[in-house]
Amino acid sequence: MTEHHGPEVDYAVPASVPSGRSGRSRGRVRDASGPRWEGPHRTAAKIGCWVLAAVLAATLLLPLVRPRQTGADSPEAAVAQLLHGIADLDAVAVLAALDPDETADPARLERAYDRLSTRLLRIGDEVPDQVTAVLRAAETRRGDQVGLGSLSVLAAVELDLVDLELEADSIGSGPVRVYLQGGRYEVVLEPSRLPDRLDDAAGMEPATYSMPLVEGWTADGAPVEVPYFATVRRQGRWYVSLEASGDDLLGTR
Amino acid sequence: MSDPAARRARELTAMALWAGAALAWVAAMRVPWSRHGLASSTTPMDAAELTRTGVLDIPPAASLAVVVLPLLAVALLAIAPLRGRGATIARVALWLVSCIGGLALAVLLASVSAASLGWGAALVVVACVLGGTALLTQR
Repeated sequence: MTEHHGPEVDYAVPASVPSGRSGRSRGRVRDASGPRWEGPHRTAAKIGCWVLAAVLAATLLLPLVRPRQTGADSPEAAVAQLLHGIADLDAVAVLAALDPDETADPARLERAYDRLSTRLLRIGDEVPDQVTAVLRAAETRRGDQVGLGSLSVLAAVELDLVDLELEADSIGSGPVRVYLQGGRYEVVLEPSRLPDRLDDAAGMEPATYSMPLVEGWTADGAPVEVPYFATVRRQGRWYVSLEASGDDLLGTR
Repeated sequence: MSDPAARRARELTAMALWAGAALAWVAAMRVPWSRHGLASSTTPMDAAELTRTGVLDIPPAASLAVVVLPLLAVALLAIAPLRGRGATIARVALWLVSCIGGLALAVLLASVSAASLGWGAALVVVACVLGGTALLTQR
Protein backbone atom coordinates (compact mmCIF):
# COMPACT_ATOMS: atom_id res chain seq x y z
CA MET A 1 0.00 0.00 0.00
CA THR A 2 1.15 3.30 -0.94
CA GLU A 3 0.75 6.27 1.28
CA HIS A 4 0.34 9.84 0.10
CA HIS A 5 2.45 12.29 2.03
CA GLY A 6 0.87 15.57 0.89
CA PRO A 7 -0.85 17.02 -2.19
CA GLU A 8 0.24 15.87 -5.71
CA VAL A 9 2.34 18.33 -7.73
CA ASP A 10 2.81 18.58 -11.56
CA TYR A 11 6.45 19.25 -12.37
CA ALA A 12 6.89 21.07 -15.70
CA VAL A 13 9.53 19.48 -17.92
CA PRO A 14 11.00 21.59 -20.71
CA ALA A 15 10.45 20.20 -24.19
CA SER A 16 14.15 20.35 -25.00
CA VAL A 17 17.17 21.26 -22.96
CA PRO A 18 20.35 22.44 -24.68
CA SER A 19 23.08 19.92 -24.19
CA GLY A 20 25.94 22.41 -23.82
CA ARG A 21 26.28 26.06 -22.83
CA SER A 22 23.07 27.96 -23.36
CA GLY A 23 22.76 29.50 -26.84
CA ARG A 24 25.92 27.87 -28.18
CA SER A 25 26.55 24.78 -30.18
CA ARG A 26 29.94 23.19 -29.60
CA GLY A 27 31.63 26.48 -28.69
CA ARG A 28 30.73 28.49 -31.84
CA VAL A 29 28.22 31.30 -31.84
CA ARG A 30 25.42 30.72 -34.30
CA ASP A 31 24.41 33.87 -36.10
CA ALA A 32 20.68 34.25 -35.57
CA SER A 33 20.33 36.29 -38.77
CA GLY A 34 20.66 33.30 -41.08
CA PRO A 35 23.12 30.98 -42.77
CA ARG A 36 26.60 32.24 -43.50
CA TRP A 37 28.30 32.36 -46.85
CA GLU A 38 30.59 29.34 -47.00
CA GLY A 39 32.03 27.11 -49.69
CA PRO A 40 34.78 27.11 -52.32
CA HIS A 41 34.06 30.64 -53.55
CA ARG A 42 34.59 32.07 -50.11
CA THR A 43 37.79 30.07 -49.70
CA ALA A 44 39.00 31.47 -53.05
CA ALA A 45 38.16 35.04 -51.97
CA LYS A 46 40.00 34.47 -48.69
CA ILE A 47 43.10 33.15 -50.46
CA GLY A 48 42.90 36.06 -52.90
CA CYS A 49 43.03 38.55 -50.01
CA TRP A 50 46.01 36.81 -48.46
CA VAL A 51 47.95 36.53 -51.72
CA LEU A 52 47.37 40.21 -52.52
CA ALA A 53 48.39 41.15 -48.96
CA ALA A 54 51.59 39.11 -49.29
CA VAL A 55 52.44 40.72 -52.64
CA LEU A 56 51.84 44.24 -51.28
CA ALA A 57 53.93 43.53 -48.16
CA ALA A 58 56.75 42.26 -50.37
CA THR A 59 56.54 45.43 -52.51
CA LEU A 60 57.08 47.49 -49.39
CA LEU A 61 59.76 45.42 -47.69
CA LEU A 62 61.93 44.03 -50.52
CA PRO A 63 63.31 47.45 -51.60
CA LEU A 64 64.47 47.95 -48.02
CA VAL A 65 66.27 44.61 -47.94
CA ARG A 66 68.16 45.47 -51.11
CA PRO A 67 68.12 49.27 -51.37
CA ARG A 68 68.65 50.94 -54.73
CA GLN A 69 72.11 51.98 -55.84
CA THR A 70 73.16 55.52 -55.12
CA GLY A 71 75.53 57.56 -57.26
CA ALA A 72 75.64 57.43 -61.05
CA ASP A 73 77.18 55.52 -63.94
CA SER A 74 79.47 58.39 -64.97
CA PRO A 75 81.00 61.55 -63.46
CA GLU A 76 78.77 63.74 -65.64
CA ALA A 77 75.64 61.86 -64.57
CA ALA A 78 76.58 62.32 -60.90
CA VAL A 79 76.89 66.11 -61.32
CA ALA A 80 73.65 66.25 -63.34
CA GLN A 81 71.86 64.34 -60.59
CA LEU A 82 73.18 66.77 -57.98
CA LEU A 83 72.19 69.89 -59.95
CA HIS A 84 68.72 68.58 -60.81
CA GLY A 85 68.25 67.58 -57.16
CA ILE A 86 69.14 71.11 -56.04
CA ALA A 87 66.75 72.65 -58.60
CA ASP A 88 63.95 70.31 -57.47
CA LEU A 89 64.68 70.88 -53.74
CA ASP A 90 65.02 67.12 -53.65
CA ALA A 91 67.14 66.28 -50.62
CA VAL A 92 67.05 62.55 -51.39
CA ALA A 93 68.46 63.03 -54.90
CA VAL A 94 71.13 65.42 -53.61
CA LEU A 95 72.29 63.05 -50.86
CA ALA A 96 72.27 60.10 -53.29
CA ALA A 97 74.62 62.03 -55.62
CA LEU A 98 77.17 62.92 -52.93
CA ASP A 99 80.15 60.84 -51.82
CA PRO A 100 78.77 58.25 -49.35
CA ASP A 101 81.89 58.62 -47.20
CA GLU A 102 80.85 62.25 -46.65
CA THR A 103 77.10 61.76 -46.32
CA ALA A 104 77.58 59.05 -43.69
CA ASP A 105 79.02 61.71 -41.37
CA PRO A 106 76.76 64.80 -41.07
CA ALA A 107 79.49 66.89 -39.38
CA ARG A 108 81.99 66.13 -42.15
CA LEU A 109 79.40 66.93 -44.83
CA GLU A 110 78.48 70.22 -43.15
CA ARG A 111 82.14 71.26 -42.87
CA ALA A 112 82.72 70.55 -46.57
CA TYR A 113 79.54 72.44 -47.58
CA ASP A 114 80.31 75.43 -45.35
CA ARG A 115 83.82 75.67 -46.76
CA LEU A 116 82.52 75.79 -50.33
CA SER A 117 79.54 78.06 -49.67
CA THR A 118 81.59 80.69 -47.80
CA ARG A 119 84.62 80.82 -50.10
CA LEU A 120 83.16 80.10 -53.52
CA LEU A 121 80.92 82.68 -55.20
CA ARG A 122 78.78 82.31 -58.31
CA ILE A 123 79.31 84.75 -61.18
CA GLY A 124 76.33 85.22 -63.47
CA ASP A 125 72.94 86.82 -63.88
CA GLU A 126 71.38 88.22 -60.77
CA VAL A 127 68.36 86.39 -59.44
CA PRO A 128 65.17 88.36 -60.37
CA ASP A 129 63.95 90.75 -57.67
CA GLN A 130 60.67 88.95 -57.07
CA VAL A 131 62.46 85.64 -56.55
CA THR A 132 64.91 87.38 -54.26
CA ALA A 133 61.96 88.72 -52.27
CA VAL A 134 60.55 85.22 -51.90
CA LEU A 135 63.92 83.79 -50.90
CA ARG A 136 64.34 86.65 -48.41
CA ALA A 137 60.94 85.83 -46.95
CA ALA A 138 62.00 82.20 -46.62
CA GLU A 139 65.23 83.28 -44.98
CA THR A 140 63.33 85.54 -42.55
CA ARG A 141 61.12 82.67 -41.52
CA ARG A 142 63.99 80.19 -41.42
CA GLY A 143 65.84 81.61 -38.46
CA ASP A 144 68.65 79.28 -37.50
CA GLN A 145 67.21 76.16 -39.04
CA VAL A 146 64.96 74.97 -41.82
CA GLY A 147 61.38 74.96 -40.62
CA LEU A 148 57.89 74.55 -42.00
CA GLY A 149 57.58 78.31 -42.49
CA SER A 150 60.52 78.56 -44.86
CA LEU A 151 59.50 75.43 -46.77
CA SER A 152 56.01 76.81 -47.34
CA VAL A 153 57.54 79.93 -48.91
CA LEU A 154 59.83 77.90 -51.18
CA ALA A 155 56.81 76.08 -52.64
CA ALA A 156 56.06 79.32 -54.51
CA VAL A 157 59.25 79.09 -56.59
CA GLU A 158 59.75 76.35 -59.12
CA LEU A 159 63.12 75.78 -60.78
CA ASP A 160 63.68 73.72 -63.87
CA LEU A 161 67.22 73.03 -65.06
CA VAL A 162 67.39 72.74 -68.86
CA ASP A 163 70.04 72.41 -71.59
CA LEU A 164 72.65 71.22 -69.12
CA GLU A 165 76.06 70.70 -70.72
CA LEU A 166 78.79 68.92 -68.79
CA GLU A 167 82.27 67.76 -69.69
CA ALA A 168 84.46 65.41 -67.70
CA ASP A 169 88.23 65.78 -67.51
CA SER A 170 90.38 63.36 -65.60
CA ILE A 171 93.10 64.88 -63.44
CA GLY A 172 95.18 61.81 -62.81
CA SER A 173 94.15 58.67 -61.00
CA GLY A 174 92.07 60.50 -58.35
CA PRO A 175 88.98 62.68 -58.66
CA VAL A 176 87.56 63.61 -62.07
CA ARG A 177 86.56 67.20 -62.74
CA VAL A 178 83.18 67.79 -64.37
CA TYR A 179 82.96 71.24 -65.96
CA LEU A 180 79.64 73.10 -66.15
CA GLN A 181 79.72 74.20 -69.82
CA GLY A 182 76.11 75.31 -70.11
CA GLY A 183 72.61 75.17 -68.72
CA ARG A 184 69.73 77.43 -67.80
CA TYR A 185 67.29 77.73 -64.95
CA GLU A 186 63.68 78.22 -65.94
CA VAL A 187 62.17 79.93 -62.91
CA VAL A 188 58.42 80.06 -62.29
CA LEU A 189 57.11 82.24 -59.49
CA GLU A 190 53.58 81.49 -58.31
CA PRO A 191 52.66 83.93 -55.50
CA SER A 192 49.28 82.21 -54.95
CA ARG A 193 51.18 79.34 -53.34
CA LEU A 194 52.68 81.65 -50.72
CA PRO A 195 51.26 81.37 -47.23
CA ASP A 196 48.79 84.02 -46.11
CA ARG A 197 49.92 87.15 -44.31
CA LEU A 198 53.34 87.27 -45.97
CA ASP A 199 54.23 90.94 -46.28
CA ASP A 200 56.88 90.35 -48.95
CA ALA A 201 54.23 88.87 -51.24
CA ALA A 202 52.21 92.09 -51.47
CA GLY A 203 51.65 93.02 -55.12
CA MET A 204 53.50 90.02 -56.54
CA GLU A 205 52.30 88.65 -59.86
CA PRO A 206 52.95 85.22 -61.39
CA ALA A 207 56.14 85.40 -63.45
CA THR A 208 58.61 83.26 -65.39
CA TYR A 209 62.31 83.89 -65.89
CA SER A 210 65.17 82.19 -67.70
CA MET A 211 68.70 82.60 -66.40
CA PRO A 212 72.06 80.87 -66.96
CA LEU A 213 72.97 78.21 -64.44
CA VAL A 214 76.35 79.80 -63.81
CA GLU A 215 78.87 81.77 -65.84
CA GLY A 216 81.81 81.34 -63.53
CA TRP A 217 82.99 81.10 -59.97
CA THR A 218 85.39 83.04 -57.84
CA ALA A 219 87.32 81.02 -55.34
CA ASP A 220 88.61 83.22 -52.50
CA GLY A 221 88.27 86.19 -54.86
CA ALA A 222 90.23 84.61 -57.72
CA PRO A 223 88.22 83.85 -60.87
CA VAL A 224 87.70 80.25 -61.93
CA GLU A 225 87.49 80.14 -65.72
CA VAL A 226 85.01 77.34 -66.03
CA PRO A 227 83.17 76.20 -62.92
CA TYR A 228 83.41 72.55 -62.06
CA PHE A 229 82.81 69.90 -59.42
CA ALA A 230 85.18 67.08 -58.50
CA THR A 231 83.75 63.58 -58.63
CA VAL A 232 85.06 60.38 -57.08
CA ARG A 233 84.50 56.69 -57.74
CA ARG A 234 83.26 54.45 -54.92
CA GLN A 235 82.59 50.75 -55.51
CA GLY A 236 82.08 51.24 -59.23
CA ARG A 237 79.71 54.23 -58.92
CA TRP A 238 80.43 57.94 -59.39
CA TYR A 239 79.66 60.61 -56.79
CA VAL A 240 80.23 64.34 -56.35
CA SER A 241 82.69 64.96 -53.54
CA LEU A 242 82.34 68.30 -51.76
CA GLU A 243 85.66 67.73 -49.98
CA ALA A 244 87.54 66.92 -53.18
CA SER A 245 85.86 69.89 -54.94
CA GLY A 246 86.93 72.17 -52.09
CA ASP A 247 90.49 70.83 -52.08
CA ASP A 248 90.74 71.22 -55.87
CA LEU A 249 89.21 74.70 -56.04
CA LEU A 250 90.45 76.23 -52.79
CA GLY A 251 93.54 74.21 -51.90
CA THR A 252 93.78 72.14 -48.76
CA ARG A 253 93.54 75.13 -46.38
CA MET B 1 19.84 40.17 -43.28
CA SER B 2 19.15 36.52 -43.89
CA ASP B 3 19.55 36.23 -47.64
CA PRO B 4 22.81 34.27 -48.25
CA ALA B 5 23.34 36.01 -51.60
CA ALA B 6 23.16 39.42 -49.92
CA ARG B 7 25.56 38.30 -47.18
CA ARG B 8 28.00 37.06 -49.80
CA ALA B 9 27.77 40.36 -51.70
CA ARG B 10 28.39 42.27 -48.48
CA GLU B 11 31.45 40.21 -47.56
CA LEU B 12 32.89 40.45 -51.07
CA THR B 13 32.31 44.21 -51.13
CA ALA B 14 34.13 44.59 -47.82
CA MET B 15 37.09 42.53 -49.06
CA ALA B 16 37.26 44.60 -52.25
CA LEU B 17 37.17 47.83 -50.24
CA TRP B 18 39.99 46.64 -47.95
CA ALA B 19 41.99 45.62 -51.04
CA GLY B 20 41.43 49.09 -52.49
CA ALA B 21 42.52 50.72 -49.23
CA ALA B 22 45.71 48.63 -49.08
CA LEU B 23 46.53 49.34 -52.73
CA ALA B 24 45.99 53.07 -52.17
CA TRP B 25 48.32 53.06 -49.15
CA VAL B 26 51.05 51.17 -50.99
CA ALA B 27 50.68 53.42 -54.06
CA ALA B 28 50.98 56.46 -51.76
CA MET B 29 54.49 55.27 -50.87
CA ARG B 30 55.45 55.32 -54.56
CA VAL B 31 54.35 58.84 -55.50
CA PRO B 32 55.46 62.27 -54.21
CA TRP B 33 53.37 63.82 -51.44
CA SER B 34 54.06 67.34 -52.66
CA ARG B 35 53.42 68.85 -56.10
CA HIS B 36 55.68 71.90 -55.79
CA GLY B 37 58.78 72.83 -53.87
CA LEU B 38 60.46 70.52 -51.40
CA ALA B 39 60.33 66.80 -52.16
CA SER B 40 58.06 67.30 -55.16
CA SER B 41 60.04 64.68 -57.06
CA THR B 42 60.73 62.33 -54.14
CA THR B 43 58.58 59.49 -52.89
CA PRO B 44 58.52 58.14 -49.33
CA MET B 45 60.06 54.89 -50.61
CA ASP B 46 62.96 56.86 -52.15
CA ALA B 47 63.62 58.36 -48.73
CA ALA B 48 63.31 54.95 -47.02
CA GLU B 49 65.69 53.30 -49.50
CA LEU B 50 68.25 56.05 -49.04
CA THR B 51 67.91 55.88 -45.25
CA ARG B 52 68.62 52.15 -45.51
CA THR B 53 72.12 53.00 -46.83
CA GLY B 54 72.97 54.68 -43.53
CA VAL B 55 73.07 58.24 -44.85
CA LEU B 56 73.47 61.13 -42.36
CA ASP B 57 74.23 58.70 -39.53
CA ILE B 58 70.56 57.62 -39.44
CA PRO B 59 70.20 53.98 -38.28
CA PRO B 60 69.22 51.87 -41.33
CA ALA B 61 66.37 50.32 -39.31
CA ALA B 62 64.70 53.76 -39.26
CA SER B 63 63.70 53.17 -42.87
CA LEU B 64 61.10 50.70 -41.58
CA ALA B 65 59.23 53.60 -39.96
CA VAL B 66 58.19 54.74 -43.45
CA VAL B 67 56.39 51.46 -44.20
CA VAL B 68 54.65 50.93 -40.83
CA LEU B 69 51.38 52.65 -41.78
CA PRO B 70 51.01 50.97 -45.20
CA LEU B 71 51.82 47.63 -43.56
CA LEU B 72 48.88 48.20 -41.20
CA ALA B 73 46.67 48.62 -44.27
CA VAL B 74 48.08 45.39 -45.69
CA ALA B 75 47.34 43.64 -42.37
CA LEU B 76 43.76 44.93 -42.62
CA LEU B 77 43.46 43.30 -46.03
CA ALA B 78 44.86 40.03 -44.62
CA ILE B 79 42.23 39.91 -41.86
CA ALA B 80 39.40 41.14 -44.10
CA PRO B 81 37.92 37.62 -44.60
CA LEU B 82 37.99 36.82 -40.86
CA ARG B 83 34.77 36.86 -38.83
CA GLY B 84 34.02 37.34 -35.16
CA ARG B 85 34.39 39.91 -32.44
CA GLY B 86 38.20 39.66 -32.24
CA ALA B 87 38.61 40.35 -35.95
CA THR B 88 36.23 43.32 -35.74
CA ILE B 89 38.12 44.83 -32.80
CA ALA B 90 41.44 44.34 -34.61
CA ARG B 91 40.02 45.94 -37.77
CA VAL B 92 38.72 49.01 -35.97
CA ALA B 93 41.98 49.45 -34.01
CA LEU B 94 44.28 49.05 -37.04
CA TRP B 95 42.09 51.29 -39.20
CA LEU B 96 42.06 54.02 -36.53
CA VAL B 97 45.85 53.92 -36.12
CA SER B 98 46.51 54.00 -39.88
CA CYS B 99 43.98 56.80 -40.42
CA ILE B 100 45.23 58.96 -37.55
CA GLY B 101 48.84 58.51 -38.68
CA GLY B 102 48.12 59.08 -42.38
CA LEU B 103 45.85 62.07 -41.89
CA ALA B 104 48.31 63.62 -39.42
CA LEU B 105 51.01 63.44 -42.11
CA ALA B 106 48.65 64.97 -44.70
CA VAL B 107 47.68 67.79 -42.32
CA LEU B 108 51.35 68.45 -41.53
CA LEU B 109 52.08 68.73 -45.24
CA ALA B 110 49.04 70.94 -45.79
CA SER B 111 50.32 73.24 -43.05
CA VAL B 112 53.53 73.67 -45.09
CA SER B 113 51.69 74.44 -48.30
CA ALA B 114 48.09 73.44 -48.85
CA ALA B 115 48.40 74.41 -52.51
CA SER B 116 51.18 71.88 -52.96
CA LEU B 117 49.51 68.74 -51.61
CA GLY B 118 50.37 65.89 -53.95
CA TRP B 119 49.01 62.51 -54.95
CA GLY B 120 50.47 60.70 -51.93
CA ALA B 121 48.35 62.67 -49.47
CA ALA B 122 45.26 62.28 -51.68
CA LEU B 123 45.73 58.50 -51.89
CA VAL B 124 45.96 58.22 -48.11
CA VAL B 125 42.68 60.11 -47.70
CA VAL B 126 41.10 57.76 -50.27
CA ALA B 127 42.47 54.75 -48.35
CA CYS B 128 40.97 56.02 -45.08
CA VAL B 129 37.57 56.54 -46.70
CA LEU B 130 37.64 53.07 -48.34
CA GLY B 131 38.59 51.49 -45.00
CA GLY B 132 35.82 53.32 -43.16
CA THR B 133 33.28 52.20 -45.76
CA ALA B 134 34.53 48.60 -45.44
CA LEU B 135 34.08 48.77 -41.66
CA LEU B 136 30.51 49.99 -42.08
CA THR B 137 29.83 47.23 -44.61
CA GLN B 138 31.15 44.57 -42.22
CA ARG B 139 29.46 45.79 -39.04
